[in-house]
Amino acid sequence: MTSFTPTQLKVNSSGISCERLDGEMVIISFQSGKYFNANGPAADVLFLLENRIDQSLWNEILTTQFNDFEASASNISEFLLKLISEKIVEETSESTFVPITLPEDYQRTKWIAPTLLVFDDLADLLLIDPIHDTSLDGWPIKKND
Amino acid sequence: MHQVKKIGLDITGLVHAGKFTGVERVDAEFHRHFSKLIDPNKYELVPIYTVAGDIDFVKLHPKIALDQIISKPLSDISECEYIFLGFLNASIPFTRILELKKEKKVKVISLIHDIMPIKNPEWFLTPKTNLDSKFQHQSKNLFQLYLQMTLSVADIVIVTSHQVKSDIEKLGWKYSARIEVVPLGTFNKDKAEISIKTLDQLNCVYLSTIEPRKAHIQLIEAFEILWAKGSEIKLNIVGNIGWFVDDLIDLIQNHPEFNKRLNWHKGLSDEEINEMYSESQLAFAVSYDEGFGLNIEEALAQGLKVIARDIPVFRERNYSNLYFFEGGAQELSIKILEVLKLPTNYATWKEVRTLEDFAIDVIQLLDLL
Repeated sequence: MTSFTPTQLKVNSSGISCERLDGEMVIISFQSGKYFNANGPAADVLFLLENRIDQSLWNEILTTQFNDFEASASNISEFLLKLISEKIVEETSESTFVPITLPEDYQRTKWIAPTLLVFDDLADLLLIDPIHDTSLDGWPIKKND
Repeated sequence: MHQVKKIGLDITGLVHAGKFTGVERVDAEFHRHFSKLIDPNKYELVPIYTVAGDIDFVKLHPKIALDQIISKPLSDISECEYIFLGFLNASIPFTRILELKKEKKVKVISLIHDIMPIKNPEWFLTPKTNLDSKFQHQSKNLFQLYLQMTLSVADIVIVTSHQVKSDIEKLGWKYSARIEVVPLGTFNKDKAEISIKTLDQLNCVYLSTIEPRKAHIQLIEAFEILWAKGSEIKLNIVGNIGWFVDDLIDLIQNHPEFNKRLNWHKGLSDEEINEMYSESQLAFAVSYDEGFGLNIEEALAQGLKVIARDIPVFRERNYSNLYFFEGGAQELSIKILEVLKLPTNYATWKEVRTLEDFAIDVIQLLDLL
């Protein structure tokens, strides 16, 4: 029975928007004004947190999806500490033991240590219309830059 | 006595547009009808602008500078009881709006035309893939960010078709906003004088920005089939260059029929577009996907017959003079000949929904908030 933090965690219920698309989670903190990006395994860990799955089940769930998954070398604890420091997750006493399947919305291969990309200086970039104003190199490179 | 409530309309996207096509035209026309129809005893319409600094009216597109809302003095969002977010603008101070919703019970209506940048990101600009860069996201990510923020603040999200409503629902995201379908409508219902011509003198028109999802190549291939059989029917492509279309532009400009039976018109004014419609008998809406597809209403309102791709968003209409095709260029070429031989119902233009109808429906939603 592996646990990655001393207490169970859940996604912060206030001031956070956390949505998944194609194996990628975009998290917005309306309090800090930052936004975050979590891809692949990182998005899967957030999915488990969103659904309040008890950490004792994570090893089994992740091993099913990632053949090379090893809890002790997974770097999940470090990832959770980062989520705590950014106030994306908070402690909870209510976790669930209901079996859950990870979304089949991307091709899983090897386990990659989950990382959280933090963006805190987007004010100017957000002014660029992602459809019409970006160059062929894509957002955030503006046309004629 | 009722207090007059301020409705702040976000004009930021319109100010920064630098062009006057598609959504800019819709936005400005909506403002015109909204200003005319709103009850001044209940509501005052004011512009809100989410970028630091003043608006440089000199740099505005002339038609945008004339917009009925932009020309009014700016208001701060904190002065508004209602906020209308009608244009894609990721610089909206969403956090502040959330605070105002708590403090002042501010109500937010948001208009989302489509979610294609996340549904079909391949139709939009190439992602930046340099992993060394701090900014490695795609247009898709930014659009997702915008959509999440909009859904987080909105009380009502207006979408222009059931297809877009379904697309948002299929994301499976969490939001408390009510999604309401309010179809757009045509700008102009002054039906053009349609010229009656023989089958070999006919003109067809496709009005659309030139971008991959608009399927110009398939349309040209359908006409190549007709021309190979000796048809003299002309195809007029009307629209400015979008993106990912260098090959298509080469194809058009180097086509043996270029400036003969295949013509391309850029930068036409509204008057010139109307003239083009009046010279045409058949229009197309052949995109692979749209949030709405306003060119259908525009052509029908001008008395033309329209052939549209058989996709759910176009099937939401029920107009005579509107025909559907399935398949590729061969099937489209057959449908063109079939439809051109059919009689035109000249009363159809009267049935076509307008942007005034759209504004009336938006006001009804506002009254329900």
